[in-house]
Amino acid sequence: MASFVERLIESDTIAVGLTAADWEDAVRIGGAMMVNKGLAEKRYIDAIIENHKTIGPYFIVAPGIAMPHAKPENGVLKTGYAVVTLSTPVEFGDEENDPVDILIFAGAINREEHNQEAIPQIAELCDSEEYVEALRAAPDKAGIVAVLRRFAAALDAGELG
Amino acid sequence: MIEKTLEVTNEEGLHTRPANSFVKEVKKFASEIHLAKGDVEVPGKSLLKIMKLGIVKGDVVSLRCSGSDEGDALEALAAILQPEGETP
Repeated sequence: MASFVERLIESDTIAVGLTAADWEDAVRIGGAMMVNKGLAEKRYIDAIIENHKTIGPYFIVAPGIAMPHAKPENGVLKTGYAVVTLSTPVEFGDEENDPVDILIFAGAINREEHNQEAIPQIAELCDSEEYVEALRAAPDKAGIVAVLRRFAAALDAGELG
Repeated sequence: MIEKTLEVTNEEGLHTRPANSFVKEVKKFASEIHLAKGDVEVPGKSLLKIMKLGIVKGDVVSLRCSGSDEGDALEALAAILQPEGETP
């Protein structure tokens, strides 16, 4: 499987310290980066928002961290990712994990890449307090990239998990 | 402790949404619940650790429940991994 970090850095879909009016705004801002880079159609972002409204906060994976995604058939063009950090956290309606200030978007071209690349690698990142705190503290895009490269190196070296 | 090894027939595998349902169900029981794939066993109440297993349809996993309501827990959780009508 390819690396979530490599794909993310290659697509340059990282935004730091943004301000969002609410959760939907935050998802639209991050989603727009994926659309602009040709990773997904706009309807993919619409699907994420519609799903959230219909079934509730299904993609809040840890305290303060959301992983917005929908199904491959909802308009993914190429497996890819985006990361957004917010200067002011927003509520997603998940009592255990609100408020959210890190959004890690994922869009996989098929179920295999979703379940075997996107999910485990992002879960690994989110399960590490060290890297999550470093992401929160990163002042700019270069800072985020540096943290993610350190994470990817540790993951490759089998130092995590 | 009781254990059940089964093949995951949930079409979606155990990615975020089904994993979320699984964890919510785990939390309803008093028993200690673990889910294992291969040599890796994780606590049933940890969404991230379950996500890290990268469970897809067709994977064989083991459910391990230990406690006063272990029988009910095993049954309820197996039903999420093998939804009605998808049992082989």
